[in-house]
Amino acid sequence: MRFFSALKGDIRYHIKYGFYFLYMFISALYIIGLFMCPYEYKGFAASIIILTDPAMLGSFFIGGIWLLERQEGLHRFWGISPLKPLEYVLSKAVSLAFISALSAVLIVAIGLQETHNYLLLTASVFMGSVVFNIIGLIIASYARSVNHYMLIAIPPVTLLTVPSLLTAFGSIHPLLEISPGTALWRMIGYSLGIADTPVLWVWGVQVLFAALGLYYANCRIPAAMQTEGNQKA
Amino acid sequence: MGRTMKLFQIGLRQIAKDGMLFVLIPAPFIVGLAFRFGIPLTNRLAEDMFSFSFSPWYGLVDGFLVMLTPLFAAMIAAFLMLEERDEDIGAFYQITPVEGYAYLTARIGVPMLWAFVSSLAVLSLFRLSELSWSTILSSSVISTLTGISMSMMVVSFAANRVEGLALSKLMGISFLGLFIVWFAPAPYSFFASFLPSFWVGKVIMDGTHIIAFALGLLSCAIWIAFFTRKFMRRI
Repeated sequence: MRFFSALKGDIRYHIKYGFYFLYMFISALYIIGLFMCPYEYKGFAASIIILTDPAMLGSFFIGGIWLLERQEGLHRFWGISPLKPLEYVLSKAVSLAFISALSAVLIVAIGLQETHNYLLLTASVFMGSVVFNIIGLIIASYARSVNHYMLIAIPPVTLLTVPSLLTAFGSIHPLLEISPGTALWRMIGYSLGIADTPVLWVWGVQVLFAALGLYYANCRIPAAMQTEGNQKA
Repeated sequence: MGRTMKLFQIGLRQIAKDGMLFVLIPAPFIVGLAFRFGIPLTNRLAEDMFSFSFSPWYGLVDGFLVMLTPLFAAMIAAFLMLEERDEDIGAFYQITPVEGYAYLTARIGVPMLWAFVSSLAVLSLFRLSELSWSTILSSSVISTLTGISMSMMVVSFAANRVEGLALSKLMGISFLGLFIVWFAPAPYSFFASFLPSFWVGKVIMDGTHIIAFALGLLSCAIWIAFFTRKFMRRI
């Protein structure tokens, strides 16, 4: 129940700051781009667009959200909040993943205008986005400012993006397969009919990174908040 | 002027503390180097494997390169200002001699001088297409002014750093004009002429023409004046 209240609050916050409106607009631009794209490249272009923007949008915004919450003094109330660290982290990650999934479905439904596996597309973008958002939140907890966040986020974001792009462009290597970005691209690619059936391993990588991320965030987030506010009893 | 420079130094110390200087100074040159050697190499591979060449779009890559440093500097300047606003430091400046235009000069104007010099150097050193000195100079001027307008857009509309992040996403759209010059046929491409990047593309594609350069300056001036008025009303 506490989780759903937090989730509702976060979604309201995203609506207030215009994230939904912004992503409808950005999705519309991508859709126009896909209309102009030659037919044979449309599916591939859509998969790259979804992977590099909607799926990763949370890791871009979460730094600002965390830093604004800290500056507004919200973290000082952590000591008296009934919310558990895991609920806080999941609420942040899931609320932003909604926008990612919505944007991805819109881009495919209007931009590609073909029947695709929407259930798998939604589930994979949602899952991948949750993983990226948790990683983003952990990085944000070390940041001093938005500029600092953008700087320290470069290495992890590069590590998430490059293996998936290499795989998408045809480079195959077992090491690339242990990246959650690659796993996400394979799932998106399959749902759009441009990649092979994702093996169990792909789902395993996503679940593994989500679990590791949640475990680390569960330790890191309360510690970061305690340095700013009261300790939880 | 002395006070403005003092305020600029305070901002510089802040972004140095965040480590952004280590990115801002070498990044344009690293990107330029990567473009200069990476793109012709990719082009050769594409020609061998698919009989397809990127060379007709080398000008577009140069346009992207010349706009990169000003937009990067614009983003850093905008977030520095938004953080000062979020932390109410901006309000304190308003009761000092460095309020208003002096504040904007310190936070946006001076960093943009670096962006201008950097754009000139990067395009001169790493350009892929044949560009005259006048084209390099005029495209650098328009892209620097575009950076100023983008920075002003973020600080005039965003109420805090989260809204700033959302608006900074729209900075990417400022590249749209550049792409339209190459991919949309005239006269339809002129629908994008309200975007300063359209004129950066025009100058690079057609060479410096006094009318294109003047229209580029005019489009930047309109956007800068509009956002500055909004910013001044806000503080």
